Amino acid sequence: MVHSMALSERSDPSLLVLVSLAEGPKHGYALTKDIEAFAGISLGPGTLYGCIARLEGRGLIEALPAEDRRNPYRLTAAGATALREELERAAATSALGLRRLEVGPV
Amino acid sequence: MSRRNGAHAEGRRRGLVGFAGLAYPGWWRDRYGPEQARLAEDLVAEGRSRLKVAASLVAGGLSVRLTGTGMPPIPEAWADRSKWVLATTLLPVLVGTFAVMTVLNNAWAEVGPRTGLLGRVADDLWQAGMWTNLAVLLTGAAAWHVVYLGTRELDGGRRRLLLAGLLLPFAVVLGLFGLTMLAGNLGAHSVQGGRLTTPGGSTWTHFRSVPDHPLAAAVIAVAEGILGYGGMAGFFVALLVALRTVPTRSWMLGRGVLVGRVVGTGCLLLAVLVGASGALAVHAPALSFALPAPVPSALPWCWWPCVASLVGLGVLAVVGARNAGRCRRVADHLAAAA
Repeated sequence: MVHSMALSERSDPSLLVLVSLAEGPKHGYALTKDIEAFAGISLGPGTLYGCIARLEGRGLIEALPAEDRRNPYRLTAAGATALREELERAAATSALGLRRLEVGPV
Repeated sequence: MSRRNGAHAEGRRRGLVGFAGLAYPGWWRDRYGPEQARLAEDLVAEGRSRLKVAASLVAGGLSVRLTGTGMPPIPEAWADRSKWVLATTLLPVLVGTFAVMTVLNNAWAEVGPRTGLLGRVADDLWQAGMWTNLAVLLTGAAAWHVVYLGTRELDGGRRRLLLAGLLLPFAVVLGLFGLTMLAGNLGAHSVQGGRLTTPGGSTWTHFRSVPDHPLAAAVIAVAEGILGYGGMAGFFVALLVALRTVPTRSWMLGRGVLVGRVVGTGCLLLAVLVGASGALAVHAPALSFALPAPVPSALPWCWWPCVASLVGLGVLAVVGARNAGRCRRVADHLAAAA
């Protein structure tokens, strides 16, 4: 359990934001709660908006009109493609790792 | 009563988080400020620690300032970033170098003269270090000339005020020099080793015709402190105002980057010279008979930490200049494209 937590804490927060937005547009607070629910990581406002700025700058997400100082974001087409590629790569790595674990050390 | 206390506490909470938000640069606050503040308020309202939320904002703000994450492609924003990178690296480097060399100068006096070839080489290296130190500080001071040139674009009154703030501290330093002499003359004197000395240890400031007056000497010493620290505080305030009001031009940034490179290289060279002089002095025999007290056989404990500090300051200046140069190139490129 300790090891799995340590690995998940090292996950890139930008990837978590993209995964959260794959479900639909969300504002900052909704993103924080969703990431907390599925990854068990509480992102601070500084970390979250650092990710948002980076992803927006790379054209992977875009802002929607704000409502009461809450600005929702959604995935762009480029963001969806980048996320799919990243997850497929991660899935391939996971599958390989699991197969090797089943075989065990030589 | 408790309700009023609660309102006060609420105000303090908002104040802490709001204050932490100031860690971000202006362009960030314009773009993300309101929504980020709303998220911070929501997180505090649901029970997350205010300190943690504020710490996250401060860390995020510093990170944005260091990396320029999310900075818009506006030439002025990049030029501003270049200017502030130079200011926030060069100023501590110059102050730090001066402080380190002051400590090292006292330490070298403690080491005392050494004999033999190694001792003479160590002394020559130390002297070369002193000249390098002077060159580093003068190069840094030359950077203020760039600020002076920039003030030409300001109107007469503001320009005079700003230049007075930047130059007055140097006039104060000259005045302090005279006051120090006066305080030395008025202080209680004693005779040591057949020579007249003052509490400060100086002999050359004493005039025989001036009577001892310790109270006047103490008053002058306090006035010196107030003038000295007040003058330096005034200088830094004037510098901050200059950084905010003097229009940033590409040629200014170019000269600033050059100053950063020279200062950084100078600090690294200084570390090599001072380090080598210390290493050689340890192995050279001391000329103990020329000094009133026995000369220590090893360097003072502060020596190697000071040399390490000089290396750190040099690296900071070089990295800062490199970062500022990169931002300046981006600003020029964006301005040309516009």
